[in-house]
Amino acid sequence: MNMLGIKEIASYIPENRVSNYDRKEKFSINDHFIEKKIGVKRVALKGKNENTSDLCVKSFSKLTEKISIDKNKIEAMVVVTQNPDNNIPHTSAIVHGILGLSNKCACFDISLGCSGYVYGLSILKSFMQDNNLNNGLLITADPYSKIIDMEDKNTSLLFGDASSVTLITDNPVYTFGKFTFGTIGKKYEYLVCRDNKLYMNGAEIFKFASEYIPNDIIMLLKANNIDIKDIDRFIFHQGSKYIVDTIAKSLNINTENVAFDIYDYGNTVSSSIPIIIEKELRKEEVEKIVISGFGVGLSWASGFLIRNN
Amino acid sequence: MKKQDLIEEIKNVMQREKNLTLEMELKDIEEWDSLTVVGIAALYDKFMGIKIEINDINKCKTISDIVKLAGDKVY
Repeated sequence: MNMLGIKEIASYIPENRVSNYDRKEKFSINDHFIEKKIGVKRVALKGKNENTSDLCVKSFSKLTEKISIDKNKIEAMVVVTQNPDNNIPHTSAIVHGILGLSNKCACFDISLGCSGYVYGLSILKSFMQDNNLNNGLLITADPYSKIIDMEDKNTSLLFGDASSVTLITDNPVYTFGKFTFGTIGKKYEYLVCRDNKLYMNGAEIFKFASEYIPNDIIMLLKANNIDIKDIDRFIFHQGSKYIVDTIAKSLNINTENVAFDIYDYGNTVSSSIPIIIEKELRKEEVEKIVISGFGVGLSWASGFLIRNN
Repeated sequence: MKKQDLIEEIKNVMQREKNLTLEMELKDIEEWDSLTVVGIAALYDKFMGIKIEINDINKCKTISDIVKLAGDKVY
């Protein structure tokens, strides 16, 4: 059996935007804070009638514009979300119905936040390998606008809506190395949704990420037996510019190799990493990528991608 | 850590390009914001092993006050 990996990625970012420059006075912030600290100029917002499953379907439509997909051949589909259409059923079943996939397609959701994409890659890869499946979809769609209070400075300047879909096949552009994972459950209250409203202690989340993620990257590199200097691209969860810069500095890596690109749409939770990898797929020179997602839980997962030559 | 080195580190944490001096008032510094405060707490913890509360940083009025939080770890 051939190695499974990432064949193609497509993403959907809603057109509607709210500018952070228009909220400078209201939230007592300045241009430096917008551009150099959070790194979010505008946040993307889904339409009021657009549901999580709609975001998933729109990403899938974008995927079909990039690559020919035989719906009957999709054997597994996973949706990573903590903001599903409904508590019951799982959103992947709803998406399965809308897309009209085969009755033989396995579908399940994964309840994880910012670490969800990396977890999802490992879970879907193992599930497919174990069951001899060759075509799977990993979808991320976690529209935080459903639970964000637009008056809350801690969250409303930062989070944006988006979705992504990753096609996993046995003819991939990137294959997977070993993954690493972790959880600090005692700190879950620093990022929590209560009574349908999101609360975030930004200081504690920053502290968590700056303490644990650089060490986890070192562990990941060791597990994959590779030197940090040989990595072409580091794609950390795009939490904020400040956290990405801080992790990069802590690892003493060249900032040119560190992805950051959420100025126009915001922190899209589990979609932040695939939106960036999508752009790397066409760059032949990017052979080795480290990815790391961290946040809600508090939880993290890191992975290593190798171009399949 | 030398006082001047600490000031340089604080400047980096702020992501500030212009110079920083001990006398400067925090309220007049464009780059002084909630993320800088968190970054300074992380800086003190990581490089000097000093645990400082966010509230203690928020009480500071000048760069000199921030440096004083490092106590005898700076010279």
